[in-house]
Amino acid sequence: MTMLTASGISNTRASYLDVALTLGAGRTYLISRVAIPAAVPNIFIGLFMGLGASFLTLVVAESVGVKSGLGWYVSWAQGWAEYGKVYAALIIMAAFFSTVMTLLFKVRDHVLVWQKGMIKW
Amino acid sequence: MVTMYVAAASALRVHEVRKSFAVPDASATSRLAVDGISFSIAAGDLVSLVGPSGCGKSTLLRLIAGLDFPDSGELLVDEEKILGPSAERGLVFQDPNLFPWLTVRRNIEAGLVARGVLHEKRHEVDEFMRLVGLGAFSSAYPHHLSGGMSQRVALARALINHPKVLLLDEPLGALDAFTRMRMQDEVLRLWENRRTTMFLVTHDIDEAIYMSDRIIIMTPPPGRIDREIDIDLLRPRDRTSESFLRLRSQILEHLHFAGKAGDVSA
Repeated sequence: MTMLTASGISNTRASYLDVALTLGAGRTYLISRVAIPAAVPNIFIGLFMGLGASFLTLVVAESVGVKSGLGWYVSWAQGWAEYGKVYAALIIMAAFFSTVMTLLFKVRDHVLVWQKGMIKW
Repeated sequence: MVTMYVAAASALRVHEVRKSFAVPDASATSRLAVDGISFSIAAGDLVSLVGPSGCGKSTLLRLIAGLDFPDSGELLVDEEKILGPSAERGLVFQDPNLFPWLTVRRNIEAGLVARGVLHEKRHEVDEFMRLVGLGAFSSAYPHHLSGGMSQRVALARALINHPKVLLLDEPLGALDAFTRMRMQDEVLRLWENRRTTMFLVTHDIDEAIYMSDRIIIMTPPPGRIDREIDIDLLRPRDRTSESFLRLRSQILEHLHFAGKAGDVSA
């Protein structure tokens, strides 16, 4: 995510910075009003990827390392052949993850309203 | 009619300017972009610079904007040396370069925000939106606008700072022929209205003759000034008049397209 943010900022179109300079912009304006807004789409890609990766890591870590959490619960229920509980846990996980994703999508649509109709993703 | 705050126009003087760029992977030294460029523009004049691609037109404009620095020579506005970019020298590119994350209104405000004077000058935003005929689009985002509309926003964004000199880098180059002719009148109207000194870089000879007081012809490479031609035709100019066409073939001849020029004047 940090990498994507950094590359988003360093890939700010030079012409946006040139325009801002000829409009009388100082350093603060260039950073906060040009470079960061220009990097926001990249920041969101980073957020999506980061969220997916961290959820995956969390579930794997839970099922091997600790004695709590849904990942642990799945393997524990599996051990007792209680498949109803396994599926219940899996459904809860899926519901939780998609809720978080949907929320993030909502936030993105709000923040990146200026991209609406410009880019499909 | 819109009340205008007529900014004091300024004279621009370029003296023996030379600029070269380092060539990345060549052992050879560097490529000379422009060499020995000298000219001046009186306050309130509209002067065009024409020449083929790669003759250093845009380089020269960037130097005047203060976005680049010459290897030698001087650039002066009202006899004051240009030391870097400033809101006093507005620049409009071929690509409008509107900030896509800002609405039309916020794009036009950008210069005021950047200079920290939005509070005192907020009332001017509406005037400039009306001036370029975009009042109804204030909350639209740039990607909803057509090319001509985007360029009008870019003009308003540059003009709201009341620049002493407005630099135009092929601002109408990406527009279709009809929109371009309409926008030429629009730019002329803004210029007559505000009397800002304007320096227009273009490769459209008709546009240069139609709009400017004087045409500077540059030849490549390295970019040098071939000659300057005063355009004494009365405005509004007739693109099909004999004197217009005569100037056109004269300029084409200087740019070594004489054969084609012959066809036109025949």
